[in-house]
Amino acid sequence: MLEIRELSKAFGRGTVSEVQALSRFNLAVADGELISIIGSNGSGKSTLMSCLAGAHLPDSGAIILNQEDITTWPEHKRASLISRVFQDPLSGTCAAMTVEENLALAHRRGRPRGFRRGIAREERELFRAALAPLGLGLEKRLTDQVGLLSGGQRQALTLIMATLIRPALLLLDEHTAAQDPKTASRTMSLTMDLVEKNRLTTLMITHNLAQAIDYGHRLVMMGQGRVFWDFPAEEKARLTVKSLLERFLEASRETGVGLSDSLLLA
Amino acid sequence: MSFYAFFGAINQGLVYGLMALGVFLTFRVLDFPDLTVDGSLPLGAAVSAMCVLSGVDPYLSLIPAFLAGFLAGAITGFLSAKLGILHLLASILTMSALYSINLRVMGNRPNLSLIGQDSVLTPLREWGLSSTLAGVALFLVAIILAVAFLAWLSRTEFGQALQATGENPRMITSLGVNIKVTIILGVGLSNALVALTGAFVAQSQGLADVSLGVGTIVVGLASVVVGETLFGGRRSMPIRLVAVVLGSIIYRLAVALALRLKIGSFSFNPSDLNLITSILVVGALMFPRLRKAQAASRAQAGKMNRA
Repeated sequence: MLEIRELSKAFGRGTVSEVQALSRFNLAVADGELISIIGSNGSGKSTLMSCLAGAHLPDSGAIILNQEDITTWPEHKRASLISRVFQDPLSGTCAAMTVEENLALAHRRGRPRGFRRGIAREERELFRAALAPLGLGLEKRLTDQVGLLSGGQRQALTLIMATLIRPALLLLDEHTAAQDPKTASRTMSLTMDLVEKNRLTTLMITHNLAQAIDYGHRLVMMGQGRVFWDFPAEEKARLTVKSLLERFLEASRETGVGLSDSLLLA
Repeated sequence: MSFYAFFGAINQGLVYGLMALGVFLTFRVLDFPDLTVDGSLPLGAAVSAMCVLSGVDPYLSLIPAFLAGFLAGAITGFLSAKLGILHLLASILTMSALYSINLRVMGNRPNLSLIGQDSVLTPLREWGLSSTLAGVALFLVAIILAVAFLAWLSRTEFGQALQATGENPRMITSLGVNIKVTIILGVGLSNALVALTGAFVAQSQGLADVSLGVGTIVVGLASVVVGETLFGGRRSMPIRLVAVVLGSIIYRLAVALALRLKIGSFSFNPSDLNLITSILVVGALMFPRLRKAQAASRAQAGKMNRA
């Protein structure tokens, strides 16, 4: 259970370029729920993600994850509860290290690193079992350097790494945006498999309206650092890209965000 | 090259190989260009020399030298990781401060003579080895231990986190590693090895000098890039470590040859060493790029021929 209460964050406070990126943002996410978040540039999506991950400290408000107030926890400490997948498939893995070394780093997420072996023998079985369902043959390439894999393979590996230890919260930051449509849909179905199987509480930022409608349990549209629309499952099921785009333009008119900017979403 | 000059070069290559391993750790593994080494080398020499002069066993004196180097490196790591000073500048600040500290450690003297004192080589010399060969034997053991230790470390959880810190700090932070800690410990360990080199050098040549460290970083880089150029870069960690040591030895042999070179009335002085080394490093750093450009132009020519 994730609860975000009255979260505010401004950049450049006291200057002419002051931007209120998050403005008393509220959201509650139930266990096992995947919420797609959409919004134009500057709507506060990325700031929300970095406040949740700990890269930025909010000015006010609270982030409660599994009854624990993590608002001020440093980034590396939150790793015990939160997994992240980034947009760039290169940034979720270490290219010069092997597939099994990367998985072993992820298998120790949130635990102190000591002088035990970096990869225990029995872990390799676990890694093979986790990679086999991908159907990419990665389970036979444990000792290959990750730099030898394609972008799609690396993103699939990153998703496996993010869920190797069940996180209390999974953050997906436009994680299919850098992929071609076919690879993106494969990555999305893998994502949904993992979310359903492990009942993962998930926030997914996306720029792809169709993806936001097709996947997940709820759809949230952000604007001006707030929740603009919140479509529960049954309403989301009736949405089309066209109707969503109309809501989007409506939101844009109210907030004064330029038309050209919101059209970027289509 | 004479027998004496050859083993002299091997001796130097082995002892400075320890320093090169330290430079490899920061420059290659942590991606942290660290100039602290120019100060931590004489620091190790000064600490070890003061210990020996006050009656401490020469082997035991290596421990405080190692720890002093670790502390110096940890301070550079702290300045950079915790206080946010650019890594290169942080290391220059520590290096500069160490000049004053090294003079203090040596009791405000620019050098300390260890002539007539016991050294780490004394037991070996009692078996009848010359000081050069005694150095080769001792430093060979030391370098094997250091390579074995670093190879072991690279396979531990901490070692893996250290490698990931250098390659992808954002990723390893999201996996729960505090990279400030890995940077401080990593730069510390690197300078501990460099200070150990300083202690060995001071004891084997019977002199600790405050200017002993000038150009250390360039020599260390030369060893790393010579090793990588000759033995390939992307290999397993134990092979990369051995390549650094071989790079250090080959570098010393090349220097020994260069110093014997005579072109007409021109010959090199030992004081030309830093210039020669800098040119060598530039050459070795350019080498992979030149090879790539050459391959590209050949591919281009092939395409033109087909057309």
